[in-house]
Formats: sequence, C-alpha cells, structure tokens
Amino acid sequence: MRLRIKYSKTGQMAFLGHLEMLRLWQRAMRRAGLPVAMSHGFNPHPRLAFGPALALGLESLAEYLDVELAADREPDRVQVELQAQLPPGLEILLVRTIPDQAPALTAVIDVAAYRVNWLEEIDPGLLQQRVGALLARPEVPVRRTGRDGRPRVKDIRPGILKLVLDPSPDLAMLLQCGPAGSIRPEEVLKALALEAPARVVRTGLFARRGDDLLAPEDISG
Amino acid sequence: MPDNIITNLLARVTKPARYLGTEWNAVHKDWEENPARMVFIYPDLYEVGMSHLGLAILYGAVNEQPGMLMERAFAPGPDMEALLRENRIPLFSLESHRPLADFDVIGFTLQYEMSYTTILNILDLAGVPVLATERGAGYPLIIGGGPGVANPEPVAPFFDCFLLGDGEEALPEFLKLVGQLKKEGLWGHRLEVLDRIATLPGFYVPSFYDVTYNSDGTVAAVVPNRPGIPERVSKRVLPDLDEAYFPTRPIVPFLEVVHDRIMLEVMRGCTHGCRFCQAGAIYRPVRERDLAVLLRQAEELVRHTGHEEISLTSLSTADYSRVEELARALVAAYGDLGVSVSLPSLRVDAFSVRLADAVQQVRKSSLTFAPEAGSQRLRDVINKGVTEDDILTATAEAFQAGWQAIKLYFMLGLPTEGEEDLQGIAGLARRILYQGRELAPGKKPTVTVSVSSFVPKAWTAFQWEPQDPVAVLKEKQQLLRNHIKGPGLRFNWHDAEISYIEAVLARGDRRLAAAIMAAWRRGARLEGWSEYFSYACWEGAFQETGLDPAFYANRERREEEVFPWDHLDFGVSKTFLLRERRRARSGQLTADCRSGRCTGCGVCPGLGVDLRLKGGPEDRAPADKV
Repeated sequence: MRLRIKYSKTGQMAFLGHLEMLRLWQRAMRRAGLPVAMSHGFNPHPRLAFGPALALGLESLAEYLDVELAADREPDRVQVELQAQLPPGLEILLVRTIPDQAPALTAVIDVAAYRVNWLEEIDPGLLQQRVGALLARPEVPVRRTGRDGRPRVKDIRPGILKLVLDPSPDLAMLLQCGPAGSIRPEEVLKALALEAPARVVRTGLFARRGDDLLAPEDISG
Repeated sequence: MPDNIITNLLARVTKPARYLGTEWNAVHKDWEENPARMVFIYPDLYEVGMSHLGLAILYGAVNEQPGMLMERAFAPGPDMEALLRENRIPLFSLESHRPLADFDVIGFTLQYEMSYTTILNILDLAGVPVLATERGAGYPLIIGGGPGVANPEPVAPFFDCFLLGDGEEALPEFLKLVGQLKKEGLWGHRLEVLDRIATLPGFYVPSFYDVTYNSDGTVAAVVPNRPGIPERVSKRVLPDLDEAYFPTRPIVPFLEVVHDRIMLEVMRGCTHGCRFCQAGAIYRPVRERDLAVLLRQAEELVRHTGHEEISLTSLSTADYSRVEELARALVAAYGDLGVSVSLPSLRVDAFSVRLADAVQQVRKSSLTFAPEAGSQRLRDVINKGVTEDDILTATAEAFQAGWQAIKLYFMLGLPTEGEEDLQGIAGLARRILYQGRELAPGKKPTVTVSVSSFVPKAWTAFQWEPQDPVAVLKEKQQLLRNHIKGPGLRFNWHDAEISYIEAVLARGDRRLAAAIMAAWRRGARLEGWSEYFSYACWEGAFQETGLDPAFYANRERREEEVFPWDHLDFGVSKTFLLRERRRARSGQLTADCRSGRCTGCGVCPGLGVDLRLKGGPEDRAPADKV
C-alpha cells in the first residue's frame, strides 16, 4: 500500500538538507517497525519519494513524502508510531492512503506557497508600491548560476503567480515550482529590492488544475 | 547561548547539521541536577568525530550515571571558525549550546598526532589558555585519553591529566570524584584536585613528573616530584567485555558521517603481533564478547537507531572466534529489514573472503587487503605472518566470488627495506591483476596499491628504529609510481611530510609542545585533512623553537635509551619489545598467542588480566599454562 505523509519542518530542522531528510525518515521508519517496501535491483533501497526540495534554511508547514509499504498498516497508527521516532521540529500533520498508481509528488506539484515575516519593521506603503511595480513589469530577469557553473539570466515574472500583502505587511507568494522550473522566494525578495531580514516559510504545495489549487493529499489521479 | 545567535550562525555555514545537537539519541541532561559536567571533544570535524566508537561508549557510560553529564563538541569547519572569531562567540557544546569554558572538564581524545594543533585551536576558540600552567582553577580541567596517550608527552604541557587505557569504568569514576570535590568546595584548589585525581588508577598527571635530559638531548629520567605519586602509571583494562557497558542507544547523526553505521564491537585487542603496530600492543589482551551478548546488543542497536548497516568492528574481526556464526545470524535476522552486515577489516586469507562473500549479498564493490610489505623477507621482519600464497589464494577467492576491484595496503620505509622489497609490491600487484584477468574473463579487474609511510611508534618492536628521511620516502614513492602503472593498476600514496611530522610527535618529548604551539600559531589545524596540512607551518615552527625534527624522526635509538614514555605502563614489557626487535632483524616469526603459546609480552601477568576467547575448549587462554 502507498501512504502520503504531510509534515512540517520548523525550527532548526530547517538546516537539514534533502539527503539528511531522506536518511532521517528511512531510519525513523525502521525504528518504528514500519514494513517499508524495498526496491529491487542491484542496490535495494526503501521506497520513499519526497515532494519538491526545500532550500536549506527554510522552514515549511507543508512537506510531503510518499512511502510504499510491503504490508498494510492503519494510517492513523502509522502517524502515532512514526511521530514517536522523529526529533522535535518534524511534525506529521496527516497520513493518508493513496492509490498505488497515483502519480508521484514531483510529477503533480507545480505551485509552492510562501509566507514572509519581516524581522524588522517595514513600511507597508513602500512595500505595496514595490509589489505593484514588480507585478507590472513584463519581465523580471534574475541572475542564476547554471549547472555548468556559468551565470545565466532567468525571467521569473511568469513564475510569480501571486504576490500580496497578507496579512499586511507580511507577504504571501504563490510561485511556480517543479519540473517546469522553480522560482525561489529569495529571488522575489531580491527583485523587490528589500534588504530587511525576513523569515520565509513554505506554507503549501499544490497542483494547479485550471484555476484551482489542489493539495497533494486530495489528488488521487 | 541564545537560540537566535545559533540560528544566525547556522544560516551562514556549510553543513549546519554539524552543529544542531538534536540528533536521535542525543542526551540532554539537566545542567543544575548534574554537578559534574564534561564536554567530550573529538578534535576533528563532526563527520570524523561522530564515526568514533569511543565517543559513543563514553557518552553513554557517563550519561547513564546520576550526578554527571557529558556533552559533545568537535572542531568547527573553517567557515564556522571564521564566524566565531569575527563575532567573538566562544565555541559551544552541541547539546546545550553552552560555551566550552562553562564545563568542569574538557576531554579530548587523542586519536592521531595530526590532531594536536586542532586541540590548541579548540581551546583557543573556547577562550581557554592552551598551557596548563596558565590556567587558574577558574578554567575547566583538561583531560586526554585514547591511543595518543601511549606517548602523550609532546602535548603534556597542554593537559592537566590523562587517562590511560579503557575508559568505560574509569571516566565515570573520575567524574564522580569531580562531583565530590565540587561538593567539598575543593574544586577551586587545582593542586589538591590533581593530587586526588592522581590517586585514581590509570590517571596520569604530567605536572607531577619532572623530566631531565642528557647532554645529547635524550631523556635522562622522568621522576615524580611529589610524595605519593607512583613512579609508573599503569593503564586501565576491562577484564571482561561482557560485563562492560556498551551503548545500545548511540547517537544517529543527521549528516552522513565517515562510518555511518552501527558499530558492534566484537572484541578488543589483537595478538597478531605485527611489529609496527601500536594498537596491537596497547590494547592487549584480546577480550572477545560472547555471541549471545553481541546478538542482544545488535537487536537493541537496530531497534534504537534504525541504521541500515551493522559493522563488526575490532582490530581484526576475522579473528573473533565466533565470527562466522555471528555474521550469519545477523544476516539471517536483519537482511529482510534492509539491514546489511559489513566487516571493516579483512585478514589476508581465503576464510576472510568467504566470510565477506557470505555477508555481502548484493553490491560487490572492492575488497581490501593489507599485506603491508612486498616481499616474504620483509613480511617476516614485520611479523605479518602472511605468505604470498595466502595473498594469492585470498584474491583468487575474491575474483571467483565476483569482486573485480582489489585494494592493497602497503607501508613504505619499513626497517631493512630495500629495492627488491619495493619491486615486490609492484610484482604482487601485477600478479593479482593477471590472476583477475584469468579468473574473471570478460571483466576488467583493477588492483589499487595504496602506500603509507612507516611511522615508528611507542610501545612497538620498532620504537627504536629511525624513519626514512622525507627525500628517501619520496624516492621510494617515485620508484613505485614508475612500476605500478598501466591498464588496471592504480597507485595512491600518502603525503611523506605528514608522516614525517607524525613520526616526530609519536616518539617526542615535552619540549615539542613549543613546536606544536608555534605551528598552530602559524595557522596549522585540521591537519588530518591533506588540503589543510601545511608543511611550511611546521618548518617555521621548528626553526622558531630551535627543535630538530630529525632528532625525533630519523634517529635510531640506543637500546638502553630512556624513552619519554617510560614512566607509563601499557603492560607490554620493554624486554619483550627488544626481543621482538632482534627477532625482526633475523626474520624470525613470533606466533599469535591465541594459538595457545604465550609469547611473554608481559601484559597478562603485569596487569593481572587474561585473554578472553569465546571459541571452543581448544581456545583456552594460554597465560595460565606458562
């Protein structure tokens, strides 16, 4: 059976990278006695699949992980038993059964939501003005480093799906993510030319279906 | 240290997971309720330090006792060090993020000589004066342990005391004393504190011994300078590992560390008697764990860590009397859970290969053997007890079982080594390669030769021997490089300059502390990593202090010479070592005492202990027969 797990990653857990999370979950599942299915082949490994990677240092209230089990387990019980094996800062928000043939998280998730808390006082009027100006621009080129190490320029404007003060002066963003290219929240902040220190939290991951945003736990096909 | 300061630092360094301290099974004990507080430091990066079994053992042994606590710290990465210095933040422990100077005791494990400059750097980052004489009672007490205390003299001026030998009983005893002294209000009186510590068996207080020197620079004598201080300090030995504490809830690191697996210690000690090997001498006698004890520990370890691999650790795991049964039982019990079994060290024989084959069901990457020397003559000199036939039988077995990559370890610069011994290394590598091509047709076998340079160590039969000068070591490396090339052959070598500094420190005396300080001031640290090692720091340090490194590394000692560590007792007698040295010169082998014949090394009668073997009745401990 397949389980989809939604969890939050807060506090200093934000400093664990993707590989560290993979190992942490594998070991927590083994400690919890969860019968995780193993891949076949030369170098068998537990069948775990994560949603889109989260940048090191960012907290999240909505991370996802799919796990395939070799034997059926009650999702509620899995939640309790697995939670007991996790360090503070990782909290399982829900565990739900998904169909065996449901598409992978990375194949369906294409939107990420972020919230920006300012750590210093900021002028909401100025912020509103900057946001309006940014959204009015036809193109927002940012500098990135390519895989080959060479600098390249990327237009992030089409990937900014929503940018509002909500609740003011906090910023709420909806940014494109996934295989079509991911926009990072710090790129948006940079484009707004705001130097104030901020705490950025991922608040949601979604699949776009027309004008609707579907949460991964609600996707079945 | 406030959380926001830590978070700020973490946001600015690579691998912040090194500094979190909230790993699974990390122990966070209450500061106020536990008055004897120690921070254990492995003076290298987190990934190296967290691979150390000794840390896991002592951390568990102390933290399970009431009234005391142990936290951890490691050398910060260069980026973290720069941030700490720039912002004047003292180095902190991982668990409570407290400055190291808040602890009563700072303990360092001395695992290798090249960590000594890092120890000074860590003390400095903690705001603690590096010299014991400059530390008042307001500073933590600095203690050292681990194999480096076989000769701690070069670092003695930085430490208040050392613990010799096994620590799982001795360290809690020591911290109990610390708690008592604090309660009695005596902790502020450093001299009295050290006096009391010196009464504990196995604890060595270097400032209680005066060293005098001869006009030729050698040590004349090391004598106690206080009443009641023993002339020699003997190491601590756990007589029975089955009774000893072993951690079954070790910390599970977030980061991938060097040895990222369960370490199941099957035995301690090794009696092969390789004449260059310090570990084989100072961890005597061999004490095996009972099979049932190991199986129980493995079960708890798997359940409490969730690790995907169990490594059967010891100095020579294939020697463990019940190794085959143990390995098969573990594979049977945990294979289906995705937990594999591994053997870190293989003996050079077919039995070891079959064992590795039995546990390694899937991926067969490479097998490593350590013949150490390239000719039979030289292997006999070092008492390796391995013939070319043994080697080729083992590699044949490996190729037939499906391995295609063989790694071979050798040592350059062993006593009496000549060109034919070096040619022997190249010849052996080629023979194994051809053997692989024959036995694994259609595949592409590779043979990798790794050579380190011989470093004469205290407590070995070769402690009198000179190390080859760096130029000679480099010539020998070049010769091998010329001979070991072509398709399927690879050659790696260690930096000869690092081996040289190791040799200086391994048999050095207290005067070298000045050079270690000078090297550190010139920027030396993290020298176990070749990318951070700078020979120039040491050249400058020796020049500045007027110390001659060749005196320590390249000089043959007279047989009657007093060594800087002669006032320490690791059980092995100097008479035995001298006899072994002479036997080496004449190429005579000395059998493993496991086989039943006592070699007279002096450990069992001297320390009142015995071999503990767990095999059948034929494995009776031999010492009582003598």
